[in-house]
Amino acid sequence: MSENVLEVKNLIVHYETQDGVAEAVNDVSFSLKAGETMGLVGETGAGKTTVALSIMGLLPKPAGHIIGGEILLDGKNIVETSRNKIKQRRNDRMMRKLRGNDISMIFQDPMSALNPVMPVGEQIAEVIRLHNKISKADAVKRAIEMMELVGISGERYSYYPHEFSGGMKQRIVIAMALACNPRVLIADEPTTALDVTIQAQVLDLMRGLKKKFNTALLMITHDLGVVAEICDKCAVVYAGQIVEYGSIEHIFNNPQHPYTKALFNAVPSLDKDVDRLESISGLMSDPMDLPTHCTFKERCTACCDACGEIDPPLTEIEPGHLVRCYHFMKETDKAAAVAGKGGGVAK
Amino acid sequence: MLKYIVKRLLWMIPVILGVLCIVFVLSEITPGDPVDTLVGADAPPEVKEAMREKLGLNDPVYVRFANYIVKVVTKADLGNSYTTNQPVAKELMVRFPITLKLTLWSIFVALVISIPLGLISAVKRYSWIDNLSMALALFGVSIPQFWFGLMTMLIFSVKLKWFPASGIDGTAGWVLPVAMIGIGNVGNFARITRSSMLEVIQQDYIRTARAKGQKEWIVIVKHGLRNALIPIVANVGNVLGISLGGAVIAETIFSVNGVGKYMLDAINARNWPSVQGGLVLLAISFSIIMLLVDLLYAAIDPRLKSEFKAKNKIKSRRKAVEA
Repeated sequence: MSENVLEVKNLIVHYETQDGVAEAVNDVSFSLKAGETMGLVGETGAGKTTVALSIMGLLPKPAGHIIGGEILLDGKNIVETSRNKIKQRRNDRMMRKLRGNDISMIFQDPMSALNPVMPVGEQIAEVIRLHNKISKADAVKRAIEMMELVGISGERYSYYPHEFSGGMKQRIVIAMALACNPRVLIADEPTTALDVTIQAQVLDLMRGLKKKFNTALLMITHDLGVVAEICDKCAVVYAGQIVEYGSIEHIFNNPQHPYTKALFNAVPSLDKDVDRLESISGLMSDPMDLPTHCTFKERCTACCDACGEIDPPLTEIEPGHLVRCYHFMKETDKAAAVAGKGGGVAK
Repeated sequence: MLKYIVKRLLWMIPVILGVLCIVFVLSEITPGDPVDTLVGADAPPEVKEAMREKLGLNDPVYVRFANYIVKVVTKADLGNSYTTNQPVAKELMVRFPITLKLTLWSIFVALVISIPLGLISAVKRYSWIDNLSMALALFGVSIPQFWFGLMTMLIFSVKLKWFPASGIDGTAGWVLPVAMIGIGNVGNFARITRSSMLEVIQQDYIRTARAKGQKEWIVIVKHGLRNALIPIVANVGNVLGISLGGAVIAETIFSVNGVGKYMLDAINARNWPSVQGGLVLLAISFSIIMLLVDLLYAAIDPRLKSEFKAKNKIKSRRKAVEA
């Protein structure tokens, strides 16, 4: 077993705005090995992108703060939770060396992710020159190699982004993200803005490149099809928490959390003829006002009275398969949680 | 590209004709007689009449207009000034470089101050430095130019005697007029830079640049500023075009012998050839600046250039199909 390249431990992220504190990510933990792909699935506003931006150190300033937890890159913590300006600045400087070099990110919308007034090749060469001490000519050569690698002719080095289609732009973005051979690649809904045939091409490309470079890939998506296509394991995120975590077989063949089940129910089936697509009733809890009990209780079809009392922990129901639900808690834990609640020491 | 430039230059002809049309109509309906200032209001009627005949003022306005156009087109002659009897073109050519220099310097100085100011304000939004510079910008925009000019003259020329109060002999003489024209532009440009930059730094490609591990200030200047430049260039072009017609107030206050002051004097004396000549010059320089601004757009933003190319391509293809 190889070492974890990326390890996120108990990550808590808040957005502090004038209207209050939004608890965007609450206690998220997962790990990634080299060459492994993990899917981070959840609906809009669940905190998927916030997790990604935390890893990149690119949380929107000044609102976003990592309140607690650790993000380990090759075993080294890259999170600075202190608000001390000097410490923050030191961390920024360190993150700058990592970004684009050890951790890269592919953003959702390739249409706007590229600088419109700069030739695409130059944008790729920029990241290469930033992290490698090579001459400009060599950087150009590397950039052209990267373009060819993602299937775009190197002759188009000095073309501008508007001269490419959406799928080609996403290829450029992928080339840019992989140019320095990063250890971890985060893809934030890389195919959402593309049409289906291009989606398949881009996913194929990413899978091939991932294998070639042995990069760990964190795939953020709300498309379960994409997860099935490319991921080794999967975490289902709801209201800033992981509610189910396991291998792709665990999640797809044996989903246990009511939310995961509801998500699969919502996927239209080819062989069933339905008039209306299934949906999950209700809305996700407001991150400004999260309940102290199970966050999914209001929308859950399997909830019981105890769900309104207890905030369930992640429980391992089979090796490597974790579920955050009262119904899967061990009896001893249930008793302890109720006792804890009664004794006034919540959580 | 060349075709485009030629086309734009040809478009200047109707613009100038239109300007002249308006000037002739205005000169016709403006009360006051140039002859009064030339020979005196109390001169005997025969003298006045002779003068009027000599200047051709007895012809109807459309005849004068036609004569003027013919003279301009055939002899490149803008006529002679009523007051000095010198060719207007010659008089303007002496003054135009002065106005040009004054305008360019004041805009250059304004840009050098305002763009960094606007950038810092946008990046450090709502910080004390943003508040301070935006307060200064508001001050710059809203302060009456003539008041600022007079106050600087009072303080720096009369009291402190650092700069001369009038004339532009030597470098020191330029400081106050340049500052006076510049102050309003500093505010103007700084505010546009800030708002344009604020929009740009929220764009995805700025986040992409940060995700590369690029230094923050390089992200801002290299990836941000160029994208924010279009509205700034548009505004600078406008201001430049208008100021070239003569920074009338500054030239008058500091007795700078520029186009603005020349035209103001000409208007007061109903010296129509000088007014007309000045306005032709203004129309030409304004059109040229607008052309330069449009060319600069294309240089800044490759999307505009290809849009233009695509349009041409469609046109030529359509012609080919028709043929």
